[in-house]
Amino acid sequence: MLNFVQTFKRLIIFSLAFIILITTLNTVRAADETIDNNASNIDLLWMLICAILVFMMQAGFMCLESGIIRNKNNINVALKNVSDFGISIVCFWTIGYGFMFGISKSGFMGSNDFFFDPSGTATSGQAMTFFIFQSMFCATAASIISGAVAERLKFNSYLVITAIVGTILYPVVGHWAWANSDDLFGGDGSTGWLYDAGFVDFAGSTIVHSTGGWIGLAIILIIGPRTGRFVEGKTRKFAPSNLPLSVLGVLLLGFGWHGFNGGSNLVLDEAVPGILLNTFLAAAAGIVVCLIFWGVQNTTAPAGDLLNGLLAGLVAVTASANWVTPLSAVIIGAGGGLVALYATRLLERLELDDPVGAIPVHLAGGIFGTLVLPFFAAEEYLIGNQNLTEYTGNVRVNQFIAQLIGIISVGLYTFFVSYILLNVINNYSPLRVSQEAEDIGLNIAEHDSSSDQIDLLKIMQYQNDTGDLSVRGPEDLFTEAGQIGYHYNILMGSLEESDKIMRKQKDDLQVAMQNAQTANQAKSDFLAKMSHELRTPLNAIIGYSEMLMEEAEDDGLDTYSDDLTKIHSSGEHLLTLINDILDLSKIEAGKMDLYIEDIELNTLLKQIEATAKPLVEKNKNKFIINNETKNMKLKNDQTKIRQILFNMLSNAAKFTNKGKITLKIKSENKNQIRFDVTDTGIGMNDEQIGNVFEEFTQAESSTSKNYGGTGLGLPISKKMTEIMGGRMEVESKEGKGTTFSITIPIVVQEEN
Amino acid sequence: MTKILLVEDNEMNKDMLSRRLMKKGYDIIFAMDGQEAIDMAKSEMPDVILMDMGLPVKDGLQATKEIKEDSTTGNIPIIALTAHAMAEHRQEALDGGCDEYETKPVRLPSLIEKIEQFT
Repeated sequence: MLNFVQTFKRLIIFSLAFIILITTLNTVRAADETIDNNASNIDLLWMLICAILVFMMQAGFMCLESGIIRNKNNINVALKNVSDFGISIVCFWTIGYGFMFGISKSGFMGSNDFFFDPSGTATSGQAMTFFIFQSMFCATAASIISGAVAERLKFNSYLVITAIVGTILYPVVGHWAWANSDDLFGGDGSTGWLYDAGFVDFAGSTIVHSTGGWIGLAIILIIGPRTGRFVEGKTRKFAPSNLPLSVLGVLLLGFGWHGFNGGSNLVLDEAVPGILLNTFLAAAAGIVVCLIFWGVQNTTAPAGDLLNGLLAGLVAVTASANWVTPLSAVIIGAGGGLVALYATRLLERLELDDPVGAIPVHLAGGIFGTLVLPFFAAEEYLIGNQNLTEYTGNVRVNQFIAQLIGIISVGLYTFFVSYILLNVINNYSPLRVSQEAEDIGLNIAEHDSSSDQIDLLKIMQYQNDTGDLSVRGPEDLFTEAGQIGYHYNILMGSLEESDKIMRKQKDDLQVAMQNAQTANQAKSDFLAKMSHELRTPLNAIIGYSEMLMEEAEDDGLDTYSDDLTKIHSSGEHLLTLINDILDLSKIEAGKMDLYIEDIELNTLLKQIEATAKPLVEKNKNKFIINNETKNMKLKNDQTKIRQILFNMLSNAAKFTNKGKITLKIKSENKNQIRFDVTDTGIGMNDEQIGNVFEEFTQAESSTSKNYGGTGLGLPISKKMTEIMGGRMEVESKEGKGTTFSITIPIVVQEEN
Repeated sequence: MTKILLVEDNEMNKDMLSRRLMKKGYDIIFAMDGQEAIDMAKSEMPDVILMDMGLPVKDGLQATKEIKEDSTTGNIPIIALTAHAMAEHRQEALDGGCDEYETKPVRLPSLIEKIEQFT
């Protein structure tokens, strides 16, 4: 960038030296001539008022653009607007005015009046008034561009572009259409080539507005869309930061436009009221057509469409405000509004990003207004156009061709010169800001400006990144962001407080959980120890009662044998209970491990039969073992399988009298084995089935009285089955009998 | 007559078990702890040892190991007796050198069956 600025500086200095030379020569010649000056002071007053009105359009552009873009870039956009005014005016004064209104070289560009200073000449007042008015136009053309390129063009790039616009782009096309120096002050009668071709553009639909639009288009083609605007074929709209400000901007533009069009008449005569009437009628029609367009679709019009509709109406009528009737102005304004609306959608489809819609309004609206002029202008004006070439017998067609020539030539020149020139500069020094700068916003990146909002956002971002809730945002009860910051801080305070409480609760919970685990462990240990301690005296009780039973039998003491049996069976019951509780506590503590060994199924079944047969046959039941497998070998926990099967069988025996108890074995799914124990006993109802695997519940609470048992056997068996990776199921019909079945893996994997 | 060394520290268990076994015609000698069991095994050379696992001085597992390691007593069959009815204890006893395993309270027919298998 710096290199370029230096080169540019040198270029300016050389040009200035050259221009000063020519100017001096010309001024001397101009002073010699005496011009008859008939302009009344009232005309001067009108022109000066209009110039000041056009100056107001700068404020309009600033408000419109900075309101429609995002907050993080608003200072950048506002500063661009005020800087482009300065640069374009200085450029126009030094070179631009001379190129535009100096004595024409072949109708292409002017060649004198550089460093404009008409003082001392007879028409200096008029000339200065004219200059003031024209320089405002130049500033307008430059300002149009800033909207199209907003939010990603470097500030310095923009200044360079403005200088180019104010020197070689706008003044040159202005010269083509508007240089008519015999009217002016010290001219030699030479005219611009478009003027000679009969091209008509009253206040600059093409010359000012389309020129700004073409240059904007060239730049956005070079710099591309804002990040995130078009992602994978989807268009994202960024919400305007301050829409009322944009509306104020549009109103200021409309206000200033009366000067833009009214002043272009150059004198205050009867034509002026009509021009002003047409101007604001077209503005009104532009916005109304957008309201209707959205109204017929039963939707509220988007703000951007409404604002641009009004502006496009103004742009469109600018070419012909002095030649059309009020009705035509309304039609042209409405047409301009619609054209801008469709052009906006076309740009989106082409993925061209124009943040404020400068191209739809100024380029599309300008082309439209210039092109339709021949069909709305009163015929006498067209016939009065002496320069018009007779291409056909129809004067409207002839004018249309002249308009086409103007539009195309201005388009080609402004678009390609700016595109080529800026492309070269872009390769040399990129016009666009870095991705990082775009992300944080040009206010900070380019102007080191910060605001409460940005500070607050930074703090929020920091909190998001670090989770640190202790930092606070800026507080200021007199700014919006400061108020948000104030309330945000209150919120953060409560959040920090509840976060502390939550953390404390989390710690407490962890401690409580550890305590609970310790307590549970202690319970399991206690149970294991207690059951062991209980068993030793129990051994003695069972052993001695058994011994006494044997002795009583041997000695024929039948009177004791009943009571001894009761002592013995109570002891056995107590032992089962203790063993079950120990098992259960082991299962709960997750300490129930499997001891996997090779098992011959037939051996296992023989052991089961031997142990269970006396028990099963006690109630005069028939015991059947039905093995459907052949020479099956298992790899599983033998003791537990035995314990489970014994439990199932003793359970069946307990609730069956003079019936049949069947143990059926079959393999299932190749790698599983299933044991079914079916009895023909009392069976269970649905409620009892539902409770059968619950700890300490028997099918009926009265059952334990009649049948004995702890109510722990089945829950333990079920859990052991599950530890093996199998399942236990029950089927039962009240009064018919019950089937308990387990399905377990033939081979248990070691990690189970 | 089959000579059985009953290693048991609990008086009641010792009394009960020995009386029942003697009634069945076995000759019973006693040891109260693990060390005594080792000494008795050497001096008396019993036909079978019934070894309680939880013993004072030297526990049943250690005593079993030493008896089995000694060449003179190494061939005497040892049946472990324990109150722990859990599989890990059974495995522990068998891994420790015991030849058989019986849980307490002892079921006499089952114990006698195991004793007979070694005599």
